[in-house]
Amino acid sequence: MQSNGYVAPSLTPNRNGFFDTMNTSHQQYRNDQIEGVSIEELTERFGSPLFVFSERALRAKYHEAYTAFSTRYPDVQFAWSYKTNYLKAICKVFHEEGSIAEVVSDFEYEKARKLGIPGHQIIVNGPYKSETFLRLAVSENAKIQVDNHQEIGTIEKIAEEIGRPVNVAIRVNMVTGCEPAWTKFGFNFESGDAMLAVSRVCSSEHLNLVGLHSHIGTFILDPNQYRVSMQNLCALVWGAYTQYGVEVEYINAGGGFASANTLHYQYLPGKDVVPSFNQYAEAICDTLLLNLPKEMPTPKLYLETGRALVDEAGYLITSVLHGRHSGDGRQSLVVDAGINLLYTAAWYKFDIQTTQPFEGPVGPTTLYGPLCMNIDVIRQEVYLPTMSPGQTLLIHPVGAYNITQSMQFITYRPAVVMIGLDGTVDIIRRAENLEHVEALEELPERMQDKPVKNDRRRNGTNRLTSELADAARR
Amino acid sequence: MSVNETNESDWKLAGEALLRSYGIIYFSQSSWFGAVILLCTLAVYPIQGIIGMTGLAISLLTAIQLKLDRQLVRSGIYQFNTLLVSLTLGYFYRQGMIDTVALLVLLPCASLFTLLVTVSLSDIMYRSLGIPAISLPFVIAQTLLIFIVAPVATPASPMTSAPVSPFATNPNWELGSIPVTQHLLTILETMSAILLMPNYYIGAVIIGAMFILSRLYVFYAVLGFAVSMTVLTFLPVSLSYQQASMLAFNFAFCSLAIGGVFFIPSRHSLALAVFSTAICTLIAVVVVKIFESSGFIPIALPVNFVILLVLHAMKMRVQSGRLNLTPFMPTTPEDNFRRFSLLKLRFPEFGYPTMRCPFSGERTVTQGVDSGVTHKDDLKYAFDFEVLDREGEPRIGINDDLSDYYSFGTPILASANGTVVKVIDDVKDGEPGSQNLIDNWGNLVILAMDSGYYLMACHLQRGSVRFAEGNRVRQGDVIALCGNSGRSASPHLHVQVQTAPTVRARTVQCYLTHYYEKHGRNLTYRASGIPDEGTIVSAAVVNQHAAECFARIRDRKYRFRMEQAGRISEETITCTIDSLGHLVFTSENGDSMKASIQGHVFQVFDVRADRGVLRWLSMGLNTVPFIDNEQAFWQDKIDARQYIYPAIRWISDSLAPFWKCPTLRTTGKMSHGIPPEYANRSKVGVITTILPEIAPALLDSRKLPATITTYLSAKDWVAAMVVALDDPIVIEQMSEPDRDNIATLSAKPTPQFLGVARKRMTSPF
Ligand SMILES: Cc1ncc(COP(=O)(O)O)c(C=O)c1O
Repeated sequence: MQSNGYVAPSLTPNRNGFFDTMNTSHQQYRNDQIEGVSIEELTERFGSPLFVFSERALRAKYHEAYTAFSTRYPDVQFAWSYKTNYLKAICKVFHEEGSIAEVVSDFEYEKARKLGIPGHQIIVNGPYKSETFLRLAVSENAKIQVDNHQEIGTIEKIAEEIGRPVNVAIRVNMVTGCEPAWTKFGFNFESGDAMLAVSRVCSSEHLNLVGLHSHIGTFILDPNQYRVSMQNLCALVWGAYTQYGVEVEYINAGGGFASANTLHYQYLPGKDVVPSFNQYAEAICDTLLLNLPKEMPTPKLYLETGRALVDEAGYLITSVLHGRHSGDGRQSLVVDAGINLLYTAAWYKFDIQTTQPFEGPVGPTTLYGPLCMNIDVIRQEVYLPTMSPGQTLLIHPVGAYNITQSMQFITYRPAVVMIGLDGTVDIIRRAENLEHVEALEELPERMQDKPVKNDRRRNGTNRLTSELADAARR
Repeated sequence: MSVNETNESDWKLAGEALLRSYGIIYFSQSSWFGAVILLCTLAVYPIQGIIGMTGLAISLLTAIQLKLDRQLVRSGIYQFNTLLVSLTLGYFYRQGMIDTVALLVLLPCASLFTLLVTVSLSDIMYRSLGIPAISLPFVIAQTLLIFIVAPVATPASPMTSAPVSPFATNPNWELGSIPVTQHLLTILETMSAILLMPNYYIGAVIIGAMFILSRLYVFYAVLGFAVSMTVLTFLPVSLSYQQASMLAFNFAFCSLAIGGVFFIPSRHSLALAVFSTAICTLIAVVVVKIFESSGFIPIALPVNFVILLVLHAMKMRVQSGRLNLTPFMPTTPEDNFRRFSLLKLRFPEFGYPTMRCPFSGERTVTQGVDSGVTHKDDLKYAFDFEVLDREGEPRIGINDDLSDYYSFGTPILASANGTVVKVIDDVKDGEPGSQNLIDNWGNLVILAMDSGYYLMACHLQRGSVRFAEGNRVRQGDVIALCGNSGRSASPHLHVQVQTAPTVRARTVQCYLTHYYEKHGRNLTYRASGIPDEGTIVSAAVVNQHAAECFARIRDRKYRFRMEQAGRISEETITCTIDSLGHLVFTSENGDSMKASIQGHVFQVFDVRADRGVLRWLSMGLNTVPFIDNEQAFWQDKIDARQYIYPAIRWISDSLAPFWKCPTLRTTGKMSHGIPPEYANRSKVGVITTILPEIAPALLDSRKLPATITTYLSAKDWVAAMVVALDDPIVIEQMSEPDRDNIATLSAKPTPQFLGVARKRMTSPF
């Protein structure tokens, strides 16, 4: 690495009360590799920006989470929440580890089926399931978790038609302390609607009640909220058991565990305040073992944890496009990854790490994306050294929800790679190009130019694209 | 006791018991063999034979009237001594040693006396020594008879009377000078001497029948004879030829009983048989010397003495090693061997205490049986369980805080139902790396398991024990949390099963049941086992759907429809339950099998099915654990005998004990993906693949299926079964309208539906 040459002097105001006792400025620490693969090599091979996933981290997290629960409850099954990250390679890793699938749409269901997951190993959630989708799910014995009374009616109708009862679980919403309570989904516990749904399903000759589900929210920082939700579900288990003699087969505690990210309002870094899986597990398993009826077989416990499993396995490498210092010493950096790739920037203060040695002090920096929109801000304030164009930064953790919610906007979406257990790097999603973006577009025939002309133009565009890509790499 | 047994007529019982009483003299339970012996006794010496049968009948009818145990009466165990005593009287009568009046007085007396002796002695010996009475009652009764009869007997003792066989031309031969051909004739003669009818022809018929029954019978008999003749040849004192031929069955029987009946035949039992027979020969010489002057010898004394001596001494061993006593009612040596081998291969836990995993989730056995520093000597049967991650680390991160350890604070479960008998709960949890040698075991719970053994769980977290001494716990209850108290460098669970409720009691071998072992990505289900050090184990979760399919199968009839290559047959199978709680399946075609549901596994054994549906059921359901993990597979064995070409089978049966039991290996897995045609009736499928474990050339592979897929039903046990042969077999449960609702009826097999099933055959997965 050569020196960056002349570094402009900058003044940093000594703000009152700013003491880094908790070492929150760890962002500045240099990290030049991921799982032993150098970042320089990665950008050289796959360009910038670049999403990088560590297979080791995925598996280790799964194992840690599964161990925490399975050592505390006799029958635990994880269901990979597709929406969190449904890249095939990511899902496959979790399925290999033993997860079944949790989907919230027919699209996700199709995806899971195509990956080889049989219908009976797919949990079907979601506030709206079309009748066509429900028919498919019923015929393949999927684990349907009903959301509302209308859905119960539809499934009853289907069951009547096919001449056999259908197994369903009931999604329950409730007040646990999570603000605001997720009342959009399922039947409300406090109002008695949930018990009503239990009664309705239990007394229907077309339905079997097999499970109870609650997903109380996401990024729940207080494990005790799960004590409340599990207690409430146990109350419903008792209700079904004592009033209808129904022994539910499973309890689904949903997801919502926090990853080691830092919320905007948090002062301490996420990884120091986020509860451990053991704490979540203790809250959930303890409450269940204490409150479930002893007379019936212990129901299976499903968990749909999403972000906590995948967030920390994902990195985004981004390159500095240009920077400037304003009069107050604040540095503004524009990098090549925008918030169209980082949906969770709205939630989190990501870790930003430099990837090369630097000289000079670190100073307050605002990190902008390349979009021509004012809101394209990745970090409002982060302490970084003076950066020059072409230098890279590592953004972490970005494994959850960013890939699935990213959008093609102004720029192409970058490649996603996975570092395997043996250090090999594979592309798990190729970088977009114009063809992908325009694949579904149609230009009405009357607007089309003459074929010859058209050809030349397309060639021209391609050349332009590759030139641009070359430039970016340089 | 099943229903039809109490209704069985006394005459039927008497008939069965009559034949078996003859057969059991030669250690056979076979009725046809008994019939052959019966005919032999009547054919050559009809008077003696009728006297024998009369005595037997008196005893038999009395036993039935007295309401003695019908099973024991049926087996012939209570009667065969009487038969032998009666035949002795018949012999005395034939030899003119007693007259008709004496016979009429003596026969009923001796018959009933022997019955009383047999019943009493069987009980006394079984209770106090755990061994059978064999023909000791006969020895006693015969000895007494000698004293009664001797005064009126002719001076010529039967032992020195004229030889009964036409070949024995020179009765005064020294044994050493007898030609080999004569020895062979003597073997024949001696096989009938036990019936008090020494005769070549009877002997030949008996040996022939024995050969058909079991080649090993004949082998052991000849071996015993050869051993004793060799011993006698080298002794300074010897027996006369007559004495030898009258007593030689002792040697044949001694060899047979030790080598193939009371012990499972093996190279080791063979050696023991040779040794015992040599001893028996010496005892015979002594007995002859003692009784010579009385004119008659209690002819079965030597063999009884030696068998009981050896049996009792061998029972005193702590471990059986490779010399195994027959743990069930013996039949032929070949059958004993096959049955025992399969039991031992398939149910190694038989006779040992068992426990379920005392935790949930995966744990590594960090110290196993007889290993490390602490699992030694009296304390060697112990396990240490610890939660480790993929890298083998016991904790997360690099800090050394107790709460960073995966194991710390995880619930410890009761391994079995029982009562808490000891609790220590106040030892401080040590820092990682420290060792508290004063409170070696730390906090602990001792549980008196209902099986009678004690289980100790140690190093528990301080203050975490949830039960008090005297509390009852159920298997699976959380009894405490895993801690780091006592001699524990990092949080782990130490468990051991012991014979006493004290802290330093002797440990005993214990089998873990219903659990998984993980090797790499492979998850193996084990009904029972002793995990090796380093193995990752986890408790198998019970699948209620699978359990339900086996919950109500007893006391029912099942009607199956079987189709193969267009041929359709129907078969009814009845399931009853026997006194031991085993399920007994019998087909109308005579096939049968037994099964047990122990814990959460259905396991088939004692299969006698080679024709119809039961044969496939016994293979497809050989072992069915009630688990729902579709990733896990399990392995088991099946007797390969019926797939071996019949000509080879004759040889392989007899050689197997000195080689190994020919088996097939089955690999099973659960499948919840039920094809649509069965989805209405079945929720759980079991796929069994079958692989030979012997040279495939010996097997008739056309008869051997590659896989069997079984679809289980909560209502009907087995809804359907597909056997992958060249001509696949499809077996369907035929629903009964009164039992099944309309929905199931509509799923009744139609030709088209069977077509679908057949098409699936090419790829059962
Ligand atoms: C029903 C359901 N399950 C599971 C999840 C995954 O949640 P998380 O990523 O917070 O663990 C979600 C996310 O919204 C959800 O809606």
